[in-house]
Amino acid sequence: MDIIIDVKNLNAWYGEKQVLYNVSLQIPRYNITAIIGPSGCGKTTFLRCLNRLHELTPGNRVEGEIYFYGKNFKGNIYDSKVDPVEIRRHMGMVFQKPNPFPMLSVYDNVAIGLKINGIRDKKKIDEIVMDSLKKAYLLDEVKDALHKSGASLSGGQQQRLCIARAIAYNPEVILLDEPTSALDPVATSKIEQLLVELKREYTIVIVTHNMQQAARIADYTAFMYLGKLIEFAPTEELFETPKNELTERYITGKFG
Amino acid sequence: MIKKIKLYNILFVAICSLALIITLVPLIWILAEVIANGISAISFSLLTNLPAPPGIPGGGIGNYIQGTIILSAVASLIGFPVGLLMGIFISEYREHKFAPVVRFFVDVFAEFPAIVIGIFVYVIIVRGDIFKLFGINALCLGSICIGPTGFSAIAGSISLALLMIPIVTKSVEEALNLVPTSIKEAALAMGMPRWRMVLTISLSYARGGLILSYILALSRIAGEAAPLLLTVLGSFYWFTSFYDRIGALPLAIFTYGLSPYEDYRAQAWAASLLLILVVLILNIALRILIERRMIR
Repeated sequence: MDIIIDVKNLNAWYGEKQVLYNVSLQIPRYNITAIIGPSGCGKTTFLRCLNRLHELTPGNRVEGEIYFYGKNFKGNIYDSKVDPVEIRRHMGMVFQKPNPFPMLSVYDNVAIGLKINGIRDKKKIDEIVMDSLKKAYLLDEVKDALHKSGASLSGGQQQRLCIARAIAYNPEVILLDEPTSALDPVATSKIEQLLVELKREYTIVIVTHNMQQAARIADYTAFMYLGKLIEFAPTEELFETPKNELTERYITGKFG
Repeated sequence: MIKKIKLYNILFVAICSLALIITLVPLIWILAEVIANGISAISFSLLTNLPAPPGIPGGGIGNYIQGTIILSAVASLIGFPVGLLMGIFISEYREHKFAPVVRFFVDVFAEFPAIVIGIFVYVIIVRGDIFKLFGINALCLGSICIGPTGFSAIAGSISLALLMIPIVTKSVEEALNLVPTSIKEAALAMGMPRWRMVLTISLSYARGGLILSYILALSRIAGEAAPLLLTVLGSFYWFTSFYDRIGALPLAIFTYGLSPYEDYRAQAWAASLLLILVVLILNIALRILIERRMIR
């Protein structure tokens, strides 16, 4: 198995409260890895540790190692010599609530990530923006609204705009935090199809509280409970023959 | 029982209405008085001419208008950037150990009486004690020397800038606090450094609030007389240099309003009306712009 992210003994605190306990997990390249578990199990915190976003909230703390084997970076992202800003450029993130920059146009929402990565050539930016919008299955719907505010789109379109924004600067990993929980079923299914397409070029880690969603799109699924990783296995295996009793009770709906 | 509740309700609304009337009556009265007395004195020549001796027609308040514009502009150039940076610091870097200290001092500073700031600038800059502090009479860089300024436009601008800073700081802080965390996180998650996130995302998201904070501070300093009395003193002539005395509308209101001459008092009313109109127009224009979403 080709591993892109290797998490070793990850512990995280939210202020004084520990929310992750010794989580170790290997995320395979060009696959969709889903993280499921009941609310408050630490799955979002886990995701936010992967791009060092968790530590940005004052009082938060992380211990442990996360090895990232990217094209331009190989090593522990929590090494003291590593600049978290640089790490985040290797990863794109999509949040629970669509959060396009409302003061920027649809076009600029996607282009801004290129500008911070030092791409100045207008033609090249144009090309990448169009390509990203196309990859996010959004171009046809917004090609006449490229200069309208990002906030003028529908919820589902906004979320796809956020995906386009996240892939524009060519990260290797896309992190998604319950990206469809605020969307209707039609918009949700569009995003799910999109993710399955995207895994050809990107490694995808998705947090979801929707088990069906994990079953539909994920190649690997991790089940977390109370800050601990309970079970991690290929999705089919986890749902059909769970090894842990807790996993079985959760996926059969006995708690959660 | 129900009757009693209804009675209390009516009573409460009545008390609230009374408070409203107590507030509104003086406000409308002031406006009416200023308009009634000021409008007859306002004319084109009043706005463009220099003052004339009492009793001689054709005198104007042009130099006071010019002075207020110059003083406000220079004060804005100094005060707004400083206030903006301080506001950014205590909002965007609120976890920094100095942020609460700065916030506390800004709060105290904002409550300072304007006259105290006037005295401070008088001692430090007009009289030049800041130079004596370093044991010199003036600070010279080559042939250019800066010494005690005397009553001057620059001293007045500095006193107005000092008044402006805490107002700008506090309202910029509030405007930036309204920028959603989700927007900031989106920027940081794509590998934007913190300073760049503040400059491109937060400031741009909050630009409406930033303009509002500037207008708020400008409205406040444009009408201040107390610090100018101690730093500028006033002048009957057009602006000559930043090291000279200069006129200002609040000073015109102060001196003319106290004068025994009928035509001077009328001009004081006109100056009051002008100040109120400018502040009112600025605020109304801004609200229209915000409502039409031309600025957020």
